[in-house]
Amino acid sequence: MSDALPAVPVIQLFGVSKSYGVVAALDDVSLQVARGTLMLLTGASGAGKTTLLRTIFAAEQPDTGQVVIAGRNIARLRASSIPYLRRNVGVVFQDFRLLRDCSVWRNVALPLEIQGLPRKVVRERSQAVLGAVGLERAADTMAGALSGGEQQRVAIARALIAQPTIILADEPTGNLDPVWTLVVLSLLQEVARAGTTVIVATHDPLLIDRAADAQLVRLEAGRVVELRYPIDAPVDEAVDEVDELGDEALGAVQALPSPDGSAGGAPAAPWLAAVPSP
Amino acid sequence: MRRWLYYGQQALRAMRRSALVQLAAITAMAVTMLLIGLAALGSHNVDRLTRRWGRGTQLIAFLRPGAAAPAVEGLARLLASRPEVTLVQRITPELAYQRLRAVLGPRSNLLAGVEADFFPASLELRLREGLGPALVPLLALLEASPVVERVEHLGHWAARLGRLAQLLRGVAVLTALLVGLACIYLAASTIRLGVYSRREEIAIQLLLGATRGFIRGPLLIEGALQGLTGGALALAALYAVFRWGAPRVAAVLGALPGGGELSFIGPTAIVAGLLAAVTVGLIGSGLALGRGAGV
Repeated sequence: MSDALPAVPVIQLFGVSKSYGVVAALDDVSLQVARGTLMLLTGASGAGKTTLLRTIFAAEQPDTGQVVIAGRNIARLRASSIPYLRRNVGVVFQDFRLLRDCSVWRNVALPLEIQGLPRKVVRERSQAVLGAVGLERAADTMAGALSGGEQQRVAIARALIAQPTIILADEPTGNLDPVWTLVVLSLLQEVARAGTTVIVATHDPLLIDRAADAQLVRLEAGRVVELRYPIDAPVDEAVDEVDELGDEALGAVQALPSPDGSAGGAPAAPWLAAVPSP
Repeated sequence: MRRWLYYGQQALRAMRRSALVQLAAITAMAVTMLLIGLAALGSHNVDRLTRRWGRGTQLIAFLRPGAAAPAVEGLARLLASRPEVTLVQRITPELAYQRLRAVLGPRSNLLAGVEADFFPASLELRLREGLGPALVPLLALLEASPVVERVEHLGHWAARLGRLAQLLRGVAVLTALLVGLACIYLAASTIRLGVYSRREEIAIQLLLGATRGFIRGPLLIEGALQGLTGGALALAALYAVFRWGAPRVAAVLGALPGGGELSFIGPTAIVAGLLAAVTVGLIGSGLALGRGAGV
């Protein structure tokens, strides 16, 4: 996290509980996540990671407790305001939630189309963000025809494209090889350093090991059982290490074949600089 | 405007993706709308015929055989001087014969052996304000004249035709209502089917921050496009039916005074029909997207 950024809490959870029948998915969870934070949410399957993320972008209503996003209690938002909240939250879904019979380009461009941005801006930003995840040559491929890892990268690109205030990523590296895991981590770190609050639900040991600048929250049966901030390693050193790995990964990406068989392009780095603002 | 163009593109894209369902719905709508068109076309032509009868020769006074020419001339002058009469025309037996030959056309051989003087001489009258109250005193005058044998007028038939036109208009309105409801139901069902088949896509869009307007816009346009396409197809089919049927009906009506010519519905009615079809589609999709639609 950048020292220059004020520690404004962007996400606040106060005693949030959520049950499905008799199963407690979240049990009295309280958290504050500052602007520009990269938070790793870990825990075994069924620990409540996904439910926590879904609660933050108002896909789930907590049974008790309050969720405050950028100072606004989302339980008090009108239903018509929820879409505008979601436009500020980029989500990488565990099951990707892609439009399988639509092109990669259309999937990635969808958040901007929803916001009604001009076609030129949509095109430029789509190209930039697809470059960042090494899929610019697959733009016209149907999403359903891609491999699991490629679909995951499409989902990541879609979450990034609108430059949201918050990014929630549910197992974003679950289908990625180690190289792409590091590239994605580097990307998320860069986004967080630029001021976006990033929460990553993961039990990928590589990700947890390499994300030295991340705040770590461990859930167990819906309860926060561990909260580490900052991680023990000196942050600057850790960031440099990850950046180095990221650079190596980017180099490796250039040698990776694209879905059309040609040589893949390197992700745009830093990708944000290449993305025009709306 | 950009947003609505986007909605239009999305609607067309969705329609392409469910081409078979769309084709079935639009065809069914076109067939049902064709029923309204047929009723409207019938009403339009009967109306037209009634008006033509009202404008043409409205009254015929058949003269007694051997009626004295000065007496007939005097009666013609008297009639021409009346304000409600616009034209008095003397029809000789020869002229009546020639007219009938012309009306019968290729079937004029039916008149073989019939002499021209078989037909009675007559006076044909055209009235200023169509067939109406002015007819009564005029009929009394003619029936009292010693040179007039009998009087025939189209008032009776025109009134019948007027009632038929009124009935057809009623049928057209009733058909329009029933067919309109059927079309609304068809559009609503297709849109519901579309919502169901695209529920995953809609769910994703909502998760990405789509407003209900963003989801509904393309579906509303889809309904309107269904209505418009159905209406246009119905219109094309109606024109085809008209082109095929008009000469046949005209041949039957040709023997009637003022008959023999049918016309297609005018441009105003065409535009109104298409607008109504679009409205029907919009109402259908609006109903489909009402409460409980999930969008």
